[in-house]
Amino acid sequence: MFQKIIKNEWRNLFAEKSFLILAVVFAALLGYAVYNGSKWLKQREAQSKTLIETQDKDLAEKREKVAQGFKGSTEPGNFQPNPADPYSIGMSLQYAVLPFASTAVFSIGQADILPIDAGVTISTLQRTVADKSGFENPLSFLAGRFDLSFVIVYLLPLFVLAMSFNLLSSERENGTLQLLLSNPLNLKTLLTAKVTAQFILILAIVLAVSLVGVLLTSNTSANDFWSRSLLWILLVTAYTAFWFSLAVFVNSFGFSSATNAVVSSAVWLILVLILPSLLTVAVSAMYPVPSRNEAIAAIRNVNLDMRKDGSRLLSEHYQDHPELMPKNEKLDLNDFGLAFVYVQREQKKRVEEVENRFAEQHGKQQNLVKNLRFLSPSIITNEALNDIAGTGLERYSHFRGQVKEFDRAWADYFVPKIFRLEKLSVTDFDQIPRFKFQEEPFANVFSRVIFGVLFLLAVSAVLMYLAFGKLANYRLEK
Amino acid sequence: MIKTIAKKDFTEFLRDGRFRWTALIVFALLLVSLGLGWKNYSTVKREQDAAQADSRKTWENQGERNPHSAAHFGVYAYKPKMPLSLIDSGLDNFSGNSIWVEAHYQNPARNRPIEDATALQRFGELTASGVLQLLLPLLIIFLTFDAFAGERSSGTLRQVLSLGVPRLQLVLGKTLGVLAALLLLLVPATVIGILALALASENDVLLSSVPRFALMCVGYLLYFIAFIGIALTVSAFASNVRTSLVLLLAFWIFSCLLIPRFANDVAQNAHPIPSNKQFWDAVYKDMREGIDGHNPSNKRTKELEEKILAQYGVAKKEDLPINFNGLSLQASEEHSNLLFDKHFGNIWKTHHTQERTQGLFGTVSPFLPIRAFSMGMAGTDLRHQEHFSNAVEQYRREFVKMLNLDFAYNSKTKDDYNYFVGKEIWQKSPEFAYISPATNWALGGQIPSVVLLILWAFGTLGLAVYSATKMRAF
Repeated sequence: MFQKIIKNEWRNLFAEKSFLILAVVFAALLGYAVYNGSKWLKQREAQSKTLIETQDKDLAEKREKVAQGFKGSTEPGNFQPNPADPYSIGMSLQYAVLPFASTAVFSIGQADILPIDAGVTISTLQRTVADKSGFENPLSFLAGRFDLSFVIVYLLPLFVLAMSFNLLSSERENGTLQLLLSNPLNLKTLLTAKVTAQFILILAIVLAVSLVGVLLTSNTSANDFWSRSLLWILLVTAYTAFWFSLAVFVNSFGFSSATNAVVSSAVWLILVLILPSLLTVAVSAMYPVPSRNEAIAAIRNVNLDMRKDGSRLLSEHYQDHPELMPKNEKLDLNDFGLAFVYVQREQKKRVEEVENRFAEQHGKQQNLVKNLRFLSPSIITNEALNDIAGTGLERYSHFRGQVKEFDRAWADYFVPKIFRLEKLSVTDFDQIPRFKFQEEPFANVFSRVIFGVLFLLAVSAVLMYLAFGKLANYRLEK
Repeated sequence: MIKTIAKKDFTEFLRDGRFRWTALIVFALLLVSLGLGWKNYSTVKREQDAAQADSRKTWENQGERNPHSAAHFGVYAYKPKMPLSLIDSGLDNFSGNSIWVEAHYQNPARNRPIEDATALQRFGELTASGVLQLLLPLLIIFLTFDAFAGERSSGTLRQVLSLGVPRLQLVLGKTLGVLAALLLLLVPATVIGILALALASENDVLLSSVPRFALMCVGYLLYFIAFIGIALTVSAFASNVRTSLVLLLAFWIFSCLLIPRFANDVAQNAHPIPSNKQFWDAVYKDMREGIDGHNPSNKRTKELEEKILAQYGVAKKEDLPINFNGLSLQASEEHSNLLFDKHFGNIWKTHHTQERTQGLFGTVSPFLPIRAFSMGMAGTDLRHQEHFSNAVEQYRREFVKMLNLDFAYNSKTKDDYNYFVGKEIWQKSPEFAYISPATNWALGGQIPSVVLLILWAFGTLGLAVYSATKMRAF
């Protein structure tokens, strides 16, 4: 019987023009979202690639010059540092770049906002161009991106509700409900079968279109691609299940189709639009992010202190104008380098202390906000999608941690060489630390996401249970 | 006749429990968002003002130093929060709120609040403007979708039309009826908005905010009329109430959810922004080689040296009664100013091109022009961000010039960087005070949005009248 109803429901749906239109529009939106997301990712990836290639090429050129025995030039108008000087390489700005995860196309998430290239150098980042970024158009962050997660989080529920708001009420209004129930069939089975039919159909559309798109645009050979994709399927299934069970729950009250439609759309409005955006303002009002201004001021005070300190070591204008260094002889150059490196290392240590204090406060605030996600399934799903796509905060802080390590390795490699007045040999060049992002273990992603998935499933189960309880009192006639 | 129709509809709305409830909820949301907006506004304003004062204090108390060295240390300029941002925070969360003012370089605004927020922030902020732009249209749809379709199915439309009521009057009456119902909730909200504004700002700021606020109200009124017009049009030609509702909701999803994102991506893809590295590489290249390869830096210094030596009639820099290095620094500053005008100018140009490209989609979605107009009036849009950024740059140039010239004329080339000055000079240096632009200026940038809003409002009303003349009575 169950299967019969399912088949019948499918037959009905495919005969209905409005369903077909809706399905085609929805599939088109999914397809466009995948295309659009991957286009954005490709652009970003190309930028990162150029960045890495340029700096690798630069190092290779220096190595080549060293191999040829070039020692730099102090000729006026053609000043060129000695390529073997650890100072000039160590002080140069290196970029550590966060590659996108293989499944990034699932959600652009925070990737457009959090800078994926982190500058690393012996000195503090102040004055380097890494600290002078931010040319993106603020307007581009306002609306957000038309990516797959947008379609899943915002539009999928609408599609589900548009299909299922009148599961029972339409049968009743058409007078077919009583007829159906004259079969050896109870209301629970009927409703479950109908909702299962729709569930399977919608899920099939969502998964088929998205996955085909993702397979066409992503690097499927990455070793965590399939595990991440499976987790995504699980999450989308749970999210779809939630909206269907909500529809069942609404249907179980026995309102008219019109009332069901109003109630369903109101719930969508509240859970997807109003609640998250209300929470955003509430959070910023109640638990404001600690102000960056204080950190800026503290870093500037460090800077000022160090300048006073530094003047003991060398007249401070040399800090501002390394290019104004006296040109007579090597020793002065090294002396200056030493003093500067010394001051910068000290300054960096203290800036890091300030930044750690900020990060600690900031982390506390974010943990608080994190728990609020359970107030709306859309927030849970959105965060989980970002997690799976590797465009969320967690993977980003994982990256920042590795950048810190790389920064340390970079300094540990060059600073002693600078102080020992060594020059780099060709073999030294081959040992210069390079940044390679270690992907976050899938287990971590899984453990964060699965909690949300289980929560969604649990809420769906509760809704179904309550709905079944209510069905006992369902009035069959209008 | 118009009045009778409006009055009849208005009374019906009031008696309708659904209207009472939804209006109450929307009103409550409006209040909450105003309250939270006010709280955010005052927190951020306090922080920004304190930081600005702090930056100046650090500057004045930096001790004895060389003026150019101090110019390198520089000061920070913080973007003051605009009072109307409590109604529409616009781009405030997405644009940098502070700029480092230093010698040699114009810097982009940094510290976008969004960088420190969680993904939750991406759902958007429920500010009062959000309620007005997203939820009010829904309320209008709920009030209006059955305006004609409903009367047709209940048979009253036939009676009304048989009385010979002109269709224009019928449409205007219905429009006024809905507007009256909306005003019932908007007028108290506006009063509360003004109170919040008064509470949030000092008298002079409040006064300058009033015209902006008034214009904002007019903009929203046009936006609401546009939605009423659309709803009446659809209601007139839809075959039944259900189709009318479905079509209107689809339009709402299309214009408020889909189009803004779609327009954004189209604009971004059509006019990409250079990466940070590309931008600075280009700047450095121009610094070395002169703008577009003309007049490279060593040639410029040499020319200046010859000129100054001739002017003072001496043979060597060391014999000058002034410090040549100070003049040279200022000369290079003036050269790089041109260069920053070019490069930052290009960035702003691209931003505005992206904005205009998005704006084109305002022809299919009234949401885009009202969003732009509302931000523009609140002073939280792209143009105001640029205005702030330019003001800081103007200030930077005066600030650095003053320090360089002090260095040039009060020390000699041979003293050079052993020349130190103290508090007296730091206090004499200009202090950054941002004056937010006048209402006229803000309005000037919004002409396309205003035109679009007017077209939407009157176009759709016209369309409603047209559909009403064509509609079937049964």
